[in-house]
Amino acid sequence: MVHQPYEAWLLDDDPLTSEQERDLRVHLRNCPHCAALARANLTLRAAAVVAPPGGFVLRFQERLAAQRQAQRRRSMIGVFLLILIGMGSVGADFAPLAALSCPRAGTTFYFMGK
Amino acid sequence: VNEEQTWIFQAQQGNDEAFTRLVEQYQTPVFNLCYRMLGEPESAEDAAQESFLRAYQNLSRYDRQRPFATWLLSIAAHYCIDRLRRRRFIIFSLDGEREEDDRPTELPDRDAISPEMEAIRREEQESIQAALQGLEATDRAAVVLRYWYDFSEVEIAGSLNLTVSAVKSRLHRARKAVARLLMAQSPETRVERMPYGSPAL
Repeated sequence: MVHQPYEAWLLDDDPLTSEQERDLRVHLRNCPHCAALARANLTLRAAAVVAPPGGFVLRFQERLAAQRQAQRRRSMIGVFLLILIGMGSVGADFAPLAALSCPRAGTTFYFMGK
Repeated sequence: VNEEQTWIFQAQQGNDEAFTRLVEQYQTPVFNLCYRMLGEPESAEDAAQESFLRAYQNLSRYDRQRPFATWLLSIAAHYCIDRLRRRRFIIFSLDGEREEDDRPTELPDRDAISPEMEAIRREEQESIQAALQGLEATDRAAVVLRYWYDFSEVEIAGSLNLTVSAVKSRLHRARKAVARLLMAQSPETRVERMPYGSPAL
């Protein structure tokens, strides 16, 4: 069976003239393929809008608050890690000086005397 | 300046109450999009919540020249597409297993004229939901934006980062697939019984 131009009419969303509409109706009575396409169009157009269960906004507010708290915690951990890294690098810079100024017990110094 | 634009402006300035108003206003369209995309109320709730969080975090990037609904639904559509791609090996089957109470609330349909018509409509809604799950993620998003939100092909292209011709061909392919799936589920075509008007329109 020839499906054109009926299939194209059904697939494009353009409005039809009354003559085209009449031709299409005649074709649909005899063509299960195009009738299924028309039915798909209609069923999609008639589809209901589904609403969320009650309390959606409240749940969003709770989720937002939880997310903010998690972000705060992550920032605090970040700051803490930065401080630790900073202290570590300062410690590493001063370690040789500290070693010189505070020799460990038992270290023997040799002086070259005359 | 309308009320919504005021809320957006205030929310961009850091007013959480104003953003809450936007959540109130758009909870149903965003949830519905996620439900149609993901097929399960629990996933839809989670995705809708996440979409609002992403919108909240990116509010400073929102261009007020653009409709807020388009921007917000685009965030939700992208989130759902990513999520579907991550879990594509999991196939959703339209229930029988799910309890009636778990179903999300469908808003009253003014077109439902009799219990018989309501039963047919419900059956077809279930079929359509199952058919949607058979589509590739981006095709599904295009169909949902077209049929539930009346997005034009240009708007869909803008929202999903596609060309208009790509949107057109995706919509064609998706409609054919939905038709095939509906036919497979119930071979008897019911065009003559459709109360909604001309099939082509």
